[in-house]
Amino acid sequence: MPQDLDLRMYPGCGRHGTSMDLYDSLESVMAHLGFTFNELEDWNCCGSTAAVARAGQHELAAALPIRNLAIANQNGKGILMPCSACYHRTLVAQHEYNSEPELKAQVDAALPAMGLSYEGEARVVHTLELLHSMVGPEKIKAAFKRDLKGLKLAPYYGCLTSRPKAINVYSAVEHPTEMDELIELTGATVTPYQSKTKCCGGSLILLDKPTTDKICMDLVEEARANGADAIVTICPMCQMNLEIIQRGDPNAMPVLYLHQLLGLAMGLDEEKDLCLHQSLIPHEGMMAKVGVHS
Amino acid sequence: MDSRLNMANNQPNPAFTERLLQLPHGSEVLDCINCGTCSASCPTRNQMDLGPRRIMQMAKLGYDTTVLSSNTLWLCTSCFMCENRCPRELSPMSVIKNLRLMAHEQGKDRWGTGHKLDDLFSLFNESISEYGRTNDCDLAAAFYRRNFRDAVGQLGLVFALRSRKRMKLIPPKPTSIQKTGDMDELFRRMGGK
Repeated sequence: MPQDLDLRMYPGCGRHGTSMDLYDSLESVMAHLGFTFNELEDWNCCGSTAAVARAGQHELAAALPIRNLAIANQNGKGILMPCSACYHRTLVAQHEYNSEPELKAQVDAALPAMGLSYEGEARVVHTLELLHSMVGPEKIKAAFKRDLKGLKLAPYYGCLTSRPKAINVYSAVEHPTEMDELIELTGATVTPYQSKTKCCGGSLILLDKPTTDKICMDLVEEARANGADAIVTICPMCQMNLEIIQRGDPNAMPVLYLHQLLGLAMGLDEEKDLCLHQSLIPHEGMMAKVGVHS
Repeated sequence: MDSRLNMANNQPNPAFTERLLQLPHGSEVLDCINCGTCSASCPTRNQMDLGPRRIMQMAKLGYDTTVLSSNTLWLCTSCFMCENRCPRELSPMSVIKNLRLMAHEQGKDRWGTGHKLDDLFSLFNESISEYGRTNDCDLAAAFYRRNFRDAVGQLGLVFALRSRKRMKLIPPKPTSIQKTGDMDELFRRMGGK
């Protein structure tokens, strides 16, 4: 009987768009481990863009994610947010609500008209916390069928999952270790990576591509200089930006999600379950290195 | 004086500083000790005219046209590194966000990257107020329709994503939330300014 860990899945703007491979593959991996999630009822946009575009949107940028939290509470569930931006915005909004009385008053005034109420608490979980803390290394390792020994992987967390300090649930803000531990569980080696939480530019790729190209190239170069075969990440914007910069490069290294890597170790189908055929950079060279031929 | 700063014709404007001080985190420019940790930490600092440190100081001193015409305002990615490391617990990122608002108020985001951000935000607001959601392909497509020159360079990527079923050439609108009245309520009260 599949469990849902008392969590609802939050789709965000990418679920039926450019990061559908993240969500489809996550659902397969989690189903394999015995967990399925329903979608958060009548969820709305997380408001990330409103939070960063310019000042003056503070209330809207908080009210949008708090509506989601209030809905989750009404259903007695927490929320699983695989997108780092959605996750970050929601936790920061929750923190702002709890520490700014004026903001709290304004949001509280809007909730009754929507048939909602909110007490300031709701569980919000990102994929990394889901895998490392809720499912746990033992259960994950027990599902492994392959040893990925010989593979060298750069652990790229991205900038939003462990910042600001106030919302961080991981071992450190700038150099967390939870993804490193899960990578090592597969038998693969984690390469040193100073840029673990250095920004890839995110949506700057739309606004200033040359600048984003530069910073993404630096991120790939560091991984390459440290001997990595591929980059493992937990954020859909990072995954896309680091692939885009390498398009057309014959020496491009794959950029895959942590849960896709774990799925490979579990022996799941690379296409049907893990959606690796939807990546821009082919992964077959990396897999051949550990003796896996599709 | 660093010729790059081009401050020769910019008289300090106290009204500019006063406006900044009215905005959230605006007064932090008064607490800044000019240590440079923010500039040393910023992932896009090397592409900026003026790093976060100089922006904080110059905004405090009222160098309005220099600050509002810098590219700095549009290169911040809100990555929280500056805020996370500032020894006085200030947020240069938030000051820059205020300067974006002030640039918008003064019509200084009508071209270049500033204009693109305004486009993106307008499109975002349109989608949210109508559907309560966005679809990222739909939003990107609408953005590129307004920024056609940038779109041309991205055609290869669009086709690559399409062939991998991560993007439709004519992206669908997002599936609307049921309670669209909730969005009317939020926008009535809070904006999309």
